[in-house]
Amino acid sequence: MENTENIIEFRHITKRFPGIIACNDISLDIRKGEIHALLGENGAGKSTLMSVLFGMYTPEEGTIAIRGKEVKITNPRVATELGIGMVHQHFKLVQNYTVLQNIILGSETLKGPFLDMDSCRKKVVELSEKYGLAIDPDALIENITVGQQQRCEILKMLYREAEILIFDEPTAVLTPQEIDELMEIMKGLAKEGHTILFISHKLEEIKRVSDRVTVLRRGKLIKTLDAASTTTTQMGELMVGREVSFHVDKKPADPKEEVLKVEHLTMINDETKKKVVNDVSFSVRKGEILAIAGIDGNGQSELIYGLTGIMPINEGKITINGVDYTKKSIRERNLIMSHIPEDRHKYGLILDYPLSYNLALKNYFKPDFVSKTGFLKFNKFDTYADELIDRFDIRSGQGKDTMARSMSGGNQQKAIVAREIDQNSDVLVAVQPTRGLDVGAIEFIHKQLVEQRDKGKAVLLMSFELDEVMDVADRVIVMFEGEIMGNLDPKKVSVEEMGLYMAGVKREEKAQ
Amino acid sequence: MSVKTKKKFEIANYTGLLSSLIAIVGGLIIAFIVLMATNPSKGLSAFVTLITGGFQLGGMKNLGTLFYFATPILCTGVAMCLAFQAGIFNIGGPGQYSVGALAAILTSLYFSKNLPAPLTWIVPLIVATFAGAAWAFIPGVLKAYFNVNVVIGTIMFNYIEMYYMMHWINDYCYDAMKGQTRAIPAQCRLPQAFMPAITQNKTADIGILIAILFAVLAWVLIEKTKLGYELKACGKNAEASRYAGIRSKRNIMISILLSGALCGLGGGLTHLSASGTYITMKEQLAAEGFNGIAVCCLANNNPLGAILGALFLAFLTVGGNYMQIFGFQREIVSVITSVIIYFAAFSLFLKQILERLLMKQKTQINKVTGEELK
Repeated sequence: MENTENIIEFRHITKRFPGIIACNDISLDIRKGEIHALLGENGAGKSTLMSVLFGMYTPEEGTIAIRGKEVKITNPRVATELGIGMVHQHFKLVQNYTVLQNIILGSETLKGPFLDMDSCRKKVVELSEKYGLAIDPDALIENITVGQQQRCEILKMLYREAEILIFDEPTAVLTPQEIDELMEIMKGLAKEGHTILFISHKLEEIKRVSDRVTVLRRGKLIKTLDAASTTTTQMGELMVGREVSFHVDKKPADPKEEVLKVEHLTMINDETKKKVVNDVSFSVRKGEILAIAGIDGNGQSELIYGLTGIMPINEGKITINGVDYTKKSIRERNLIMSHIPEDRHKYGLILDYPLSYNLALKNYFKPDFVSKTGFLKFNKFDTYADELIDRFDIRSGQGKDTMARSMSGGNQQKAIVAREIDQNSDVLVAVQPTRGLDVGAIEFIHKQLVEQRDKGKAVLLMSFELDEVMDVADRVIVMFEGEIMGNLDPKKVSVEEMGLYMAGVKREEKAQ
Repeated sequence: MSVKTKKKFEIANYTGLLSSLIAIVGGLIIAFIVLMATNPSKGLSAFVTLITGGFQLGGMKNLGTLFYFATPILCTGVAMCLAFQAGIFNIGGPGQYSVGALAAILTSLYFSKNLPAPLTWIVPLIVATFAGAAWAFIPGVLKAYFNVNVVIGTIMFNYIEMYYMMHWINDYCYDAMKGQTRAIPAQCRLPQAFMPAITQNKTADIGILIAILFAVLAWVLIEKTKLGYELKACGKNAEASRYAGIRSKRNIMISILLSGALCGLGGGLTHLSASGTYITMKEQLAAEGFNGIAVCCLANNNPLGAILGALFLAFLTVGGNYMQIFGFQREIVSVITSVIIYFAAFSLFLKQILERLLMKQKTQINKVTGEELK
């Protein structure tokens, strides 16, 4: 067609980690000016392959050629010089710097010994106009939305004259509208001659935006396909190696009595004095899944932290099974409420503890795990860990002795899910339980959530993924700026309508 | 599976030990260079004395001296391990150590000398332990409940202790003739038991045995108990510990109090020693407190390793003292030991490098054995 010149050639790339071959003899050509998606489960090797390209890992075997010339990319600086830029899944921005300052950081233009801010600004404004990346260069990063932060990251790459742009799961944190905008931006960039590598496991997006898609599975390249002529079902099957169902099979909910009840919960941010959670009331019944939907940063996270006792609440009452839990300690709450936390590295795991210790994090003080004299029963730790590893298919290099830090993100998440579900608590609070997971793992976790519901648990699901909310939940409340905008039945509202509630445009009469 | 587990732990221990050894050898090389630069003609013999601990000059008697020097830094070293494991950087060792020392002296002078036999020295030791803990209490409260940086809190308390102690010595136990604290009654000193026979040193006592006992207890506490699991969890990730329902404030208090108690014990053991030790009126922080940090670094935060670390540093001190025979100033001796201690602080860093290297090697091996690991 118009351009078949290869800009990147991977030749027999192999990268090993202890116990795992992350990339196994991968050979792949990327054409100039295409949007090339990399699709695969967690641990399939997509991120590793891109990290090799960006110079963060050195492969044990294989070579990379850029623009026909073999290169050794030993660190990200070399990659930048070769015109490769990367937007990481977790943005690397200085929070209390402005957009402009962040963009030029590390490649500032100087006038003598001084910064030449004017010419920097001119270049940034030109770029943002050229590619439709609307952003205020003087806004502080901490004050702008995640979508805008991402634009800032994209501008950072363009400012460094990157020609090859790597996006690592760029849509994971965006709203549906922001995703649409990003897709347009990506297409625009490709039209201007940039080559885009796009890591994702969202099949719809891949189909919408990419020209070709390469499927990886367990470190091996399975196939490179033409995106337009392949269905999402085919992609999904290639990715997991079997048929997958995208919709959660579940019986209609049969909710019974109220288990968790939250009344007039209000939380005020200490610094801004803003009501981040404003007079929120809801209840979850036995045998139902209630989802909290909304765009990131509208008080959902705080609500969960207040509920689970991690943050103090200012007003309101929390009742579980008729008992007032408002003033109970975290440990007391843990005994009746499982919590899959939003931030797995901050809260969910002790990264420098082995897997077996982490799996026992909510149990270690129970009589099965510790003797009356205070000595830990390590045999129990081991058998318990082996059981959960087996049941939840947690993969790692050295089994239960693997340090949590050296496990892949997906398997870390599986470990947390395993631990929390196995608590068998009356209330299960799952926050972004499938974030960063692949289709197979998502399917598995959704099944677990529904199973917990059918067992008569009260499940509270907080998610930024609208699809997840619509598929899994029996009832949805939407939060906007700390308030509940609506209490909806996912079977009766469309995604678009939900989007209006999420954006604060629409509000149910007498919500709650 | 269990065989595999064992192997993994062996590798972990082995890198820890190796990194400590590399730190020591590195320190010794620099020490040698310093010695040769200071006095080329005598440098070599002095260095030999240093690394043989002066045993060829002083004979087995030195073993007693070695134990004497090792006792306090073992206590403070273990104290640091307990605090660091819980993520508390207790720099208050010197203060807690000296408070323990003074408490032991005052208790034996004014109270325990008239008690029945073993209590004469047991009571002062217990009081010393509590005094050390008490001195750590306020920085602990400041850290746990007011989030005051623990380094600042403890370091300030070192100075408060230093000046306040002068006042106490002056008023209650000053021997003006000798310019130091009064000698404690003979019956309050630590028993010697079989130690003189073993070490061929008339002044040796059971202090080192008590210190080793506490090192073992501390190891058991950290590695085998529920409390240890919680302390380490707080040290590695305070937020996740809170999420798991661990009361972090309580754990901060426990770890710093235990740490202070062990420092106090060290002070007590030293100043109740059979050889007789005194506190002089100097504006100086107790070096034993800071050397505990070096012991802890050498031991990679492991209380059992601290036994080796403390013995090693004491060994250098003994050898270093003999270097004066070759005309080296005391200060040069201090420089040498400090260099080695300085290197010891790098052992954690070295450990990380070693582990990375080993990992690389291991993947190389995997490559040879092919897809075995899949």
